[in-house]
Amino acid sequence: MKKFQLSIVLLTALVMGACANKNVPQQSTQIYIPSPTVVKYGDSQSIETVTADFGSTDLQTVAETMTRSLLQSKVIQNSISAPTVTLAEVKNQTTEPINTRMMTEKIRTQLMKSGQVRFAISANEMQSQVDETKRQNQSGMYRNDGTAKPGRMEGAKYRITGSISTIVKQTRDVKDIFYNFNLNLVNNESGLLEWAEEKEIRKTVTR
Amino acid sequence: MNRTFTSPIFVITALVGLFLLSACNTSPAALTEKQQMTTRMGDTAAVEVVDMRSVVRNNLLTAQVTVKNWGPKPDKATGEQKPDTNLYGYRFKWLNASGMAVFSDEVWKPLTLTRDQSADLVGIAPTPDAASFRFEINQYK
Repeated sequence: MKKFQLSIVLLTALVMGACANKNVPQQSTQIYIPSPTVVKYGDSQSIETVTADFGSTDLQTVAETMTRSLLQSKVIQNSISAPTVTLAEVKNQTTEPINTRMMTEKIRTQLMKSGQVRFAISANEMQSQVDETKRQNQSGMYRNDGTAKPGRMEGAKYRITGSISTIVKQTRDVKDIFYNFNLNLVNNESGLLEWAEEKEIRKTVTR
Repeated sequence: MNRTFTSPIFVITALVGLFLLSACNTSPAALTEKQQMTTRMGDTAAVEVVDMRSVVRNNLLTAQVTVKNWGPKPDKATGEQKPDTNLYGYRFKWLNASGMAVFSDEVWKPLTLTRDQSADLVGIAPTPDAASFRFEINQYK
C-alpha cells in the first residue's frame, strides 16, 4: 500500500514538474515586440492642433501678421533708404513657457527678407560685437587695412519691442486661452511710438 | 455665280454643318477670374469665394477675399442638416509680374467660420515685388 501511495505521489510530482517545465521556456523566450513606429515629414506651414498650448501655427501667424503690418506702415515705406532698427527680445507675460527667442528671430528674419529694413545689433548681441572688434584690433593677428575699426557702428533709428500675454479660463470640460501679442516701433531719437500692432488668437479645448 | 452655291440644298447643308461645328467647339463653362485665382485642396465646396479685390497700399499689394461658409448640403434622402464639422485653413500666395512666387510660403491660417458666416480675409504682400496673388484654401480636418 505504501508503495502504491509513494508511486502516486511521485507520478503527481512528475506530471506537475512536466507542466511547470513546459511553461518556463515559454516565459523566458517571450520577446517584446514594440508597436511599429512611423516617421514621416510634414508640411511645416500646416495647421497644428495637437494641444492648445502656443504652437508653431501661432508663432508663424504672429510673426507673419506683425511683419506685414510693420512693412506697410508709413514709417517704413516713407523712408528714403531702408531704416535701421533693433529688435529687443519679445517679453513672455504668460504663465506658459514660450520660446520668445524663436519668435524674435522669426520676426527679424521675415523683416530682413523683405529688404525694407536693416537691423543693427541689439543690446543682447552687443558683447559679441565688442569681443569681435577687440579680437581683430588687439590680437595683432590681422592686417590693419582689413580690420573692423571700432567706433564705426551704426546706431538704430528705431527699436522694436514686443510682448505676449494670455487670459486663460477653465472649467472641468472647457479650457479657453486668449493670446494677445503686441509689437511697437519706437523712434530712438524722439521717443515717439511710431507704429503698433496686435494679434489676437483664441484657442478652445473641449473634452 | 455658280448655281451650286445658291441651291437650297447647299445652303441648308452649310448651315447644318456650321451649327454642328459650333456645337463641337463649345467648351465646358469657362472658369471665372475668382475660380482661376483660387486653389482648393480637400473638401472645401461649402466655402464660397464671394469677392476678391486688391489694392497697392504704401507700396505693398493688399488683397481682400470675402468668403462665406454655407455648411454641408442637407442629406438628400432625409433633408436633414448635416453637422458642420469640417475645419478649413487659408493662405495667400504672392506672385511677381511674371507669375513667379515671391517670398516663402505663408503659414496656413485657420478659417474660423461657422455655418452661414462670412469673413473678409486680408493679406499683405511681404515685398513690393508682389504684383498679384492667389488664394489657397484647404480642409485640414
